[in-house]
This record gives sequence, structure tokens and C-alpha cells, in this order.
Amino acid sequence: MKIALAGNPNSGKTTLFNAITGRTEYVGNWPGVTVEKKEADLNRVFRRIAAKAFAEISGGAHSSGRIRVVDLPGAYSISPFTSEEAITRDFVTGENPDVIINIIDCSSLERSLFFTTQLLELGIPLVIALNKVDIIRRHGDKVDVSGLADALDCRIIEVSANDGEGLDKLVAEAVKASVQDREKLPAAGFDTAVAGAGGDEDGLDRARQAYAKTITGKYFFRKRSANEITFSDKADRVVAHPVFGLIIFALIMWGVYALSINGIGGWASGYINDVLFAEAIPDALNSFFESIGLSPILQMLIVDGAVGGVGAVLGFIPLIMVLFFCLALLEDSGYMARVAVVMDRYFKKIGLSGKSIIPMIVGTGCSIPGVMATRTIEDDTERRITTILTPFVPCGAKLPVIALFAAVFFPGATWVFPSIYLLAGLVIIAGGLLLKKIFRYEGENISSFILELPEYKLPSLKHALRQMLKQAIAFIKKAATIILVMNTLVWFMQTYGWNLRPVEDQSMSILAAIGGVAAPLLLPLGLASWQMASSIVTGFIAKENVVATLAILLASSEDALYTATGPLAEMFTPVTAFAFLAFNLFAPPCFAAVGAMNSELGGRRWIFKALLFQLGVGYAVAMLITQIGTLIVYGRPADGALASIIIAAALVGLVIAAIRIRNGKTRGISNTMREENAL
Amino acid sequence: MMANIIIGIVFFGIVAFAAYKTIKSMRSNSCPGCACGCSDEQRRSCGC
Repeated sequence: MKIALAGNPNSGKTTLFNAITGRTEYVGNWPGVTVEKKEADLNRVFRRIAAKAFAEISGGAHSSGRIRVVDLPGAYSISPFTSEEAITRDFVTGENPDVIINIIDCSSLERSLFFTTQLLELGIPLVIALNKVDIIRRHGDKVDVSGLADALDCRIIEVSANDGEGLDKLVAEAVKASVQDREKLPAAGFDTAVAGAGGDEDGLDRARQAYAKTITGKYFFRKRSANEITFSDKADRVVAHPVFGLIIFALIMWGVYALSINGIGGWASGYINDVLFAEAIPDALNSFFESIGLSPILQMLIVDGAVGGVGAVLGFIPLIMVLFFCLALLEDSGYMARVAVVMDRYFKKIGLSGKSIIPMIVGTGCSIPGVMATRTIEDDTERRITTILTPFVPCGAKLPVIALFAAVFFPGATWVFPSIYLLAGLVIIAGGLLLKKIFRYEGENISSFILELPEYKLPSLKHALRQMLKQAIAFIKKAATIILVMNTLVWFMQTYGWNLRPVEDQSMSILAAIGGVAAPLLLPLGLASWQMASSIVTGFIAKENVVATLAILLASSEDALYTATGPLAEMFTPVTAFAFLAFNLFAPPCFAAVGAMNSELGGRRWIFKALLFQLGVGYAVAMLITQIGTLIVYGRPADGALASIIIAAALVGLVIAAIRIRNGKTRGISNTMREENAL
Repeated sequence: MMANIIIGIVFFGIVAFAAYKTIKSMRSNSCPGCACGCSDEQRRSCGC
């Protein structure tokens, strides 16, 4: 048996899906979070409820069997406007679900019923889950559920997916409807309204809207006037204000990062890094291995390579947990949706819209869902530009790199993380302007951005804790798989030479030979050592590898990696350290994010352009930081100053050539259009 | 000698399993762990 969950964006489908399946899919308090369908079985509790309901209607003769629940992307209509709406349309019309649970946000009943009327026409058994009843109760509003159910001739259950209220009844009714409501005709009232509109598609839509309005007026009782100013409205005058909103956003993010890095997250990370993985675990392992007479080379591989590298990354878990806990609270409260509104007007100036900020906010966790979230953008060019710019947002994997360099070169400073995000913002704006010049034809429209702002609410601690744990578990899994494998490889490559014998000096190793090839290219960035080049290369597999690789390469040092007087301080100056951070942030992301970009951009030509652009931006930003920063801070030109001038000139030339080619094409198109118009 | 063999088998067994999971994830363009919004298709192919 297959249950489809369908409804408008941000009606609570994924929250309901998680509640009845036990999954922990990403939930956001804004529209467009789910862009692909997700499937799972009912969890044990609801399976029992479903079995009981099935036994009731079949007299115990049959069992319900396996029950799959499919969470579909939000849609306003069966006629798709975006690619994720098409997924919903294709599923409900082509894959014959046994029953559709139509989730309706009852605080937006009229808008939601438009889609409901279309679903009712499909002839598939339908149960309406009237979600967020707790919100309308708080306002003193009411829905006449039995009247509405009679009017639509379908089962309606009041639920609150957040608290789990009414979900047992909903599942039981869905099972009963799947058997008892087959071949049911649409309600008479709706049938008449649509029939009266004639066959024209617009006419039918108008009839549906009129019908939704009529029955909302009849069965929804609002205590307060629709024009009444609510707390959310008052708060939005400040929070979503074009100037104050930006200042508030900056202050909030500063607070979040200060709490994560310098507060409890930073303290716990410091303890794990300095005590657990720097002393306690290596000492215990060394004692144990020595007592059993383990070969020194195997001992070094396990202690310095595997444990040292993985530990260097795992140490940042508390910091990441606190950060994602705070971000989940902000998101659940409805605040992040306001950020999208604030940014909309600024993004319009660079040829994007507020729709582009949503993938970027999602991308603070991981670039992959951020890149996938670009599907909600209808305009092709705007979607591609957003896909290319989204990985510039520092994701969770880049946080250990930032935290390590902040701890070594700027200890105690609260400005490092906010400044990195500010720099990312500036790079996104500059990159957007550049891409607009290169890719966008003149006269192309920017997507209109209409976002229904969710009401502010007290964020759920349970939800935030779940998100935090999910991130922590993913981080541990990543450390135990991809990072462990890379660490083992890096250790081998830095311990052995090409003759497969251990080397006395690391600079004779395989890794030094490979890193040495890339190192001269990094001279204008002030990063011309094989160790730096190697860590950058391993970072393309997973960004956490940058930290793990440095930990392995510098394991022989007596000082811990994280100390201000440690081995990193000998490799970098504060200026080149910041340039190294910038290069890792803005150069192409990890392989998985590149794969996601490839899928979304659609074609090798586009992914090649995107990677070239990101590499150019990463290189140029790091080069500018090193060259200008060294001149200002140390009063002398940095190494490779001449090479950097030549490279900068070449990059500028390349951009001008790309813009000229685009302008030539645009003029060609304009002339063709003029000729066609003249004819 | 025995210690080297046992610890070696355990360690390289773990690394081989990690490599297997990593390659499966790489082939489906996802990260091991899949906490980052991978699609069902990706999850099925990388087995996490």
C-alpha cells in the first residue's frame, strides 16, 4: 500500500512524514525545503494502528501489508510551475497511490483548497490532514470540520504534526479511505462550480478559486479581522526592514558564532582536541601497542595517521553541534524566512532574487542540498548562477578549517567567523555581478519572489536537538569513512618514497613529489609549499581533509597543531593563513557537491564553466589577500608579486573576453529579433 | 608477530570497509552519512 503526502509548500508534509515514519528528513520553516520525493515505511507504532484499521474494515480477513509513505515536494497546483512541482504531479497522476493525504495548513485554508479541489478530481481516495490546528486555536479561530468534510465529501482530520496530535486517527482514516473511498466522485457542490465554468483551463482555475473562497467563508471562523495587525506583522516591520533587518541578521549571526566558537562549543572542542586526541587516546594506544610489541610502522600508521587525522576532525564536533542547534532554532522560529525577504532586494541588484538566498541558507549546512534547492528557481540562468554561487557559503565541512586557523592565528578573536561570512557575502555579490555580465542576456526577467512568511513561533527544542544530532552523526560517519581512508593514504604517501621504502625526510616522500608539482602554482598566494598544496588537494575530496592532512603532516612536531606557537604558525603568517582559508572556501567544493552541481547545471559545458569560475574566484581572492595584505601589514611585497600581477591581468582579460563574447551574442539575438519584428 | 597480524587485519579491514562505503558514495555523488539531503535514489545506490 502506498500513501502519498501532498500539499502546498510549508504546510508541514515533511514534519508529518518524519512523525509517522520515524525518519529525520530535513525540515525548514519556509517553502521549498523538499525538492525530491522521499519514501519510507510507516514506523512500528503507526504500522500497528494501520493494521488495526485494516482489520476493522476487512473483518480481520486481510492484512494491510507493507505501507510505504511518500513525501512529495510542495505544490500549489497540479499544473507544475517548477521542476519539483512536476515531481508531485507525475507521482499523483502516474504512480497510482492508494490514498493521498492532503496536508493543509489550516491558517491558509483558502489557498490550500485550490490544490485540494484538483486532487479530488483525480478519483484517488483522499484524506485531508488539517495541520497546524494549534496555531489557529491560539488565535481563537475555528474550522467547522464536519461541515467542510460534508462539503468536500472526504475525510478530514485535525492534526498538529509538530506535537503528533491526531496522527493516529489520520493514519487509520487513510487506511480505511484506501479501501472504502475508491471510485468516489467529487462532491456535488464542487462539481457544479467547475462544470459551470466551461472547459477553458483559466475558467476552471477561476471556478476552483471561487469555490475555495466560498467554502472557506462558510466553514472557517476567524476571531480577529484579516486586517488586524498581529505580533508577527509588528515584528516584521523591524526584522524584515531593508536596513534594520540586515543589521539584526549580522548581529544574530555574530551571536550564534560567538556562542559556538567561543562559548560551550569552542570549550568542548578545545578539550577534545587538546586533551583527548592530543594526549589521552594517543598515549593509551601507544602504551598498549608497545606492550604487545606491535611493529613501530603499524603503530605510527594507526596513532599518527588514522587516530591523529580523524581525531583532528572529530574534535570539532561540539562546535558544529552548538552551531547547528542554534541555526535550527532560528530556522524553526520563522526567522530565516525573513532573512530571505531582506536579501531579496539586494539580490535583485545582482540579477538574482530572494529565491537564491534559500539555497544559500540551506548550504550553510552542506552545499549539496543547497545546490539541489536551486530547483525552486524557474529562470534557467538565475538557477545556474545560484548553483555556481551556493558553494561559496561556508558549509559545515569547512568549519573545522576555519576553526583551526582561527584558534592558531587569531586566538580569542570573535570576528574571524563573521568576517569569513562577510567575505563570502561580498564574494557572492561580486561573483553574481560578474556572472550576470557573462551569462545573462539583456532583457531577461528576474524571477518574482513571493514568500508566504510563516508566523513567528517558539522553536521546538526537540527539532533543534534532532537536527544537531543528525549533523553530528553525519560528521562522525564521514570521519569514519572518507576521512579515515584519505588519512591512511596520506600517511602512506608521506612516509614512503617512490621506491616504496620509508623515507628519512618527508620532503623525499611520494606526497612531497605530488604536492611539489602543484606548489609553484600557489606561489602568488603565498602558499608555495608541498604540505599546503597536498592539504588543498585532499580538501577536494572532503573539506575536512584539509585539517586531517595538516594534522598528519605535522604530527612529528612537539607542539599541538592548535596552539598559537605550534607547527602551523611556522608555515603561515596570519595574512597567508587567511588567504589559505579563502582559497579553501571559494575554490571548487568537494567531489560530492561538484556531482550535485553537475546534475543541476545539466551538461559538461556548464560544469566546466562553473569549476573554472570557482577556481578563478578562489585563486583571485586568496592572491589579493596575500599580496595586498602582505604589503599593508609587513610593508613589503609578497613572494610572487610579479607573477600575481601577470595572473591578475590574465584573469581580467579572460573576464572581459567572456563579457564581449556574451555581448556579441546578445547583439546578434537583438538584431535577429528586430529583423523578425520588421518582417 | 601475532599482534601485528591481528591488529593489521582489524585496522586494514576497517579501512577497506570505509573505502568500500566511500566509493559507493562517490559513485552516487553523495557524502558518506547522507545527512545532507541526499535523494532516495542516491541513498539506494550508496546503501547508507
